[in-house]
Amino acid sequence: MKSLLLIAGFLLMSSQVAAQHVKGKVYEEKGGFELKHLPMPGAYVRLLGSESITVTDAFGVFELDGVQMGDTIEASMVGYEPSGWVWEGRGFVELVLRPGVALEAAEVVAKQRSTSLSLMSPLNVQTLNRAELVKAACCNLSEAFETNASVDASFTDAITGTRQIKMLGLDGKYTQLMVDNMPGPRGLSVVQGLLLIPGDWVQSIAISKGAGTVSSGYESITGQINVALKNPTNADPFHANIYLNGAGRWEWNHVSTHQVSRRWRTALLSHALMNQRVNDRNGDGFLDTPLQRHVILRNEWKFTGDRGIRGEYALSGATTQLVSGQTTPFSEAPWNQLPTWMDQRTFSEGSWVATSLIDRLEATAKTGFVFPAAEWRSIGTQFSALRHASRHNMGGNAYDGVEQMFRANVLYAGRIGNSNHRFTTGGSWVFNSFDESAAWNDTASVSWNRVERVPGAYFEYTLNDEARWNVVAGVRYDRHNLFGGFFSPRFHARFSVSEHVSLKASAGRGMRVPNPLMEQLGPWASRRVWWTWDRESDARVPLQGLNIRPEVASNFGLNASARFKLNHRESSLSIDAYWTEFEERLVVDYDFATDAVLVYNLVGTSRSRTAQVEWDWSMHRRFDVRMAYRYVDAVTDRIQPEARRDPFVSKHRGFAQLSYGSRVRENGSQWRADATFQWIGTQRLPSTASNTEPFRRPDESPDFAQLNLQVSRDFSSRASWYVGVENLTNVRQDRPIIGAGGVADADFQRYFDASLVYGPIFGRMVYSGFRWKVS
Amino acid sequence: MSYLSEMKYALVLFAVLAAQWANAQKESITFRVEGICGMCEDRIEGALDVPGVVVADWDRDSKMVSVVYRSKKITEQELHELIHSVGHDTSAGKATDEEYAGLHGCCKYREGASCPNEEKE
Repeated sequence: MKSLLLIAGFLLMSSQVAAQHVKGKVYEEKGGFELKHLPMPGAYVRLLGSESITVTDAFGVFELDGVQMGDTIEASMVGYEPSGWVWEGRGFVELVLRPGVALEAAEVVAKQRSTSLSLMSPLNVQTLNRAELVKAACCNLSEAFETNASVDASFTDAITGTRQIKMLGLDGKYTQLMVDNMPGPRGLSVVQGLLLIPGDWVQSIAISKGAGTVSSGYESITGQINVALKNPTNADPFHANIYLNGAGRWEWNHVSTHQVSRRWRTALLSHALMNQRVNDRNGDGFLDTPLQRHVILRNEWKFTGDRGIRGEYALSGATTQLVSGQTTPFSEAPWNQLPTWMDQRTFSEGSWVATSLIDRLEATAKTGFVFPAAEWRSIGTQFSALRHASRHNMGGNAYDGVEQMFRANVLYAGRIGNSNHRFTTGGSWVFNSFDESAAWNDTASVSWNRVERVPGAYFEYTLNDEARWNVVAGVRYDRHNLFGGFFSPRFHARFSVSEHVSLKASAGRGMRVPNPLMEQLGPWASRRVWWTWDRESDARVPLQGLNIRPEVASNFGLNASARFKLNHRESSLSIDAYWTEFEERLVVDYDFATDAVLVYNLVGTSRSRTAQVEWDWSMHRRFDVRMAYRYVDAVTDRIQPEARRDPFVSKHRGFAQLSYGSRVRENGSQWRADATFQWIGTQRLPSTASNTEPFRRPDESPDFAQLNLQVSRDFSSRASWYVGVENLTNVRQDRPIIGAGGVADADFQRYFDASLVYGPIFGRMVYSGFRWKVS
Repeated sequence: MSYLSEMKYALVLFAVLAAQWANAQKESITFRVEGICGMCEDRIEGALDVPGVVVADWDRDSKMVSVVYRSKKITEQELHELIHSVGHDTSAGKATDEEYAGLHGCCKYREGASCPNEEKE
C-alpha cells in the first residue's frame, strides 16, 4: 500500500515538473580582484545526461529546451573550467566560466613569454609569471627579482642577511608593494615584509614603473609592484616544494585548493624555513648567513555567487625567529638561549649576538558585485586589518615595534556613454597606529607613538580610443589627521605609433610617512647611534627631537617599446627614462661620522634620474636571450656637501640572460636551463676616513660581476627537480664587517660596523629543490 | 679588474655569431594546411619543430602556414611529409587515414568538426 502511494506521488511530481524552456547567459571571468564579467559568445551549454546542446550567441545568451527540475546545466569552453548549475525552476540562469583547467586531452597551451611587457596598457607594466619566477629558485619575494633588470636587490647589513629592493635608484620603501591589489609590505614591515611572502606562493608579479593608479592609495612614488598569490581558483589542487641550499637552509612550501561547495572554494598555503648551520666562510668570526626559523600560513576562501557577487577572504599569519652575530656562542642549539639573548643589552657580556623576532597576523576581505545587466558596472569593497610586531636586539641595540592597521576601500566602476570612457571612483579610510621604542647601549633611547587616521577619495578616468590612444588620469585627495590634506594627481598615456611601436608617458605625485627606525636595518648592526640635525644650532641632537614629516615626491617618465622580427623571430626593445624629484624627504646620512647615523628633513634637492634599455629576443626555438642596461644618477643634499651622490647605488648595471628549454614531450617532460649574468658598477660608500687602519674601507666599492646558473628537469607536468648555483664566480665583499676578526675589545666597541654592505657575503652557493603537484 | 671590457668582448662575439647565423641560406614558403583550432596549430607547428626550420607559423583563419627554413638541411617535400605524419592534409598531399584517426575529436577537419568556442580569438 505504501509503495503504491509512493509511486503515485512520483507520478504526480513528474507530471508537475514537465520539461521546460530555460534562458540564460554565460559570462567569462577576467582579472584579479577587480573582476570583470564579460558575456561569452560561442560557449557550449548542455544538459548533462542528454543530447541537448546549444551554443551561446554574440551576447552570451542561450536557450535550452527540455530542462527538468534537478537537471544540471553545464557551460564549457576550451581553456575554461566547466561550470554547472542544478536547475531549480528559475527561468533565467547565469553561468560563469573561469579560465583554467581545460579538458585534459584538449588542452591548448599557448607559448607564452615568461616576462611580458604590454604594448597596450598605458602603464609601463612588466609581468613576471611562474615560468620566470622559477628561473631563480627564489625563496621569498626579496629574492624573486634576481632575474629582473628593473628591480635591484641588495643586502641591508652583513648580519641578518635581509635583502631590500630598489627601483628607479631609490629604496623599495618608495615603491608601493601590494599583495592581490591590497596593501602589502609597508609601515614597519616595509623591508622585512618581503621575507614573509614565500616565492612558491606567488602566481605572478606585475612591476609598474612610474606614478601608478590612484585607487590603491597615495604611497606610490617610484612605482607599484603587485604580487598575485596563488588563490583557490588559479592554483592546482595540490602543490608542494622542498628546497635545500649549500648554506644549510631548507624550505617547505605547499599550496592546496579544495572545492567546498558549488559557491565556495578554499586554498591553504604553508611555508616553513629552517637554517641551523653555522657558516663563516670568510673567517671573520661572524656568521655569513643567519640562523633562522620561519612558519607562515595562509588560508583563503573564494566565493562565486550566481548573481554577480564575488568574494575573497583571507587570513594569514607569520612568525619568524632569527639569530646571528659572532660564531662563538653557537656551539649549542641557539634557540634554547634565545630568551637570554633577547634581554642582553651590552657588548661586554661575552659575544655580540643579534636576534630578531617577527609576529604578524593579517586578515583581508574583498567583495565585488557586477551588475548582471551591465557588466561594465561594478562595486567592490576591500577591508584589511593587520597587526605586525617586531623585536630586535643587535648587540646592545634594542628595538620593539608594533603596528596596527585597518583599511577600508570602496570602489565603483562604470562608464560614461560608451565603453571607450570608463571611470573608477571611491573612497578609503585608513587607521594606522605605530608604537615604537628603541635603545642604544643604554646611552640613548627613543619612544615614538603615532596614530594616523586618513580618509580619502579618488576618481580615475580611463580613455580607450580603439587602438591608438589610452589615457588613465586620476586624482586623489586624502586628509591626514597629523599632516593635513594631500593631493595626488596621476597621469598615464599611451600612444601607438604603429601596431608594433608604442610610446608611453607618466607623471604623478606621491606621499609616504617614514618610519626611519625600521626602514634602515643597517645601522642597528653597528656602533652607530641615531641622531638628528638641528639647523639652528648646526649640531647633532638626540633623535627624540626629530620632527617627522611626510616624504613627498613627483615622478615623471617616458617609455618607448617596440616589437619586431629579428631573423624571423620575435624580439622586443624597451627604452625608458624616469625622473623622481623630492619636495620633502627624510634623509638618512651615514657620512657625518662613523659612529652616527643622522636622519633629518631634506634642505635642498634630492632626485633620482634613471634610464634603462631592455632587449628580448626569442633567438631560436629553444633559446631566449635578454639583455639590459640601466643607469642611475641619484643625488641628495646632505650636511656635508661632498657626500652628494647617494650611497649604495650603482650608477651602471648590466644584465644578460640566456634561457634554454628543450622540446616538451607528450607527457610534459622537459629540460630547462638558465644562465643569468649581472654586472654591478661601482657604488659610493659612506666615508670611513676618520677611522684608523685596519678599520678604514675604500670610499667606493669595486665593480663586480655575478653569474647564476640553474638547470631544471620536468619529469612530467607534475614533478620537476631543479639544481642551481648562485654566484658561480664566487664574488665576495672584502671584509664586510668593520671590527670583526679578533680585534681588541676597545676597538670593537669603537669601530664595529656591519652596515656597509655593497655585495655578496656568502659567495658561491649551490641549491636544489623538488616540486610536485596534482592537477 | 674591469668586467666592462670583458663584457664588450662577449657582446662582439655574440654579435658575430648572430650575424653568421642570420646569413645562413634560408628560404620562406607559404602553403595551405587543413586544420581547425588552437590544438591543430600546436600540432602543426610542433611537427615543424625540427632542425632546419627557423620559424613555422600556422594561421587559423587563412589555414596557411608560413615556414622559414634552411634549404640545405630540409626540403619543401619533407616539410609537407612532417605535417602529414601528424594527421593534417596540405596543399601537396594528404595524411593517411591512420594518421588522421589519431586526431582529437574537435580537430577532425575532414568531417567538418568545428571549435566554435575559439572564434573570438
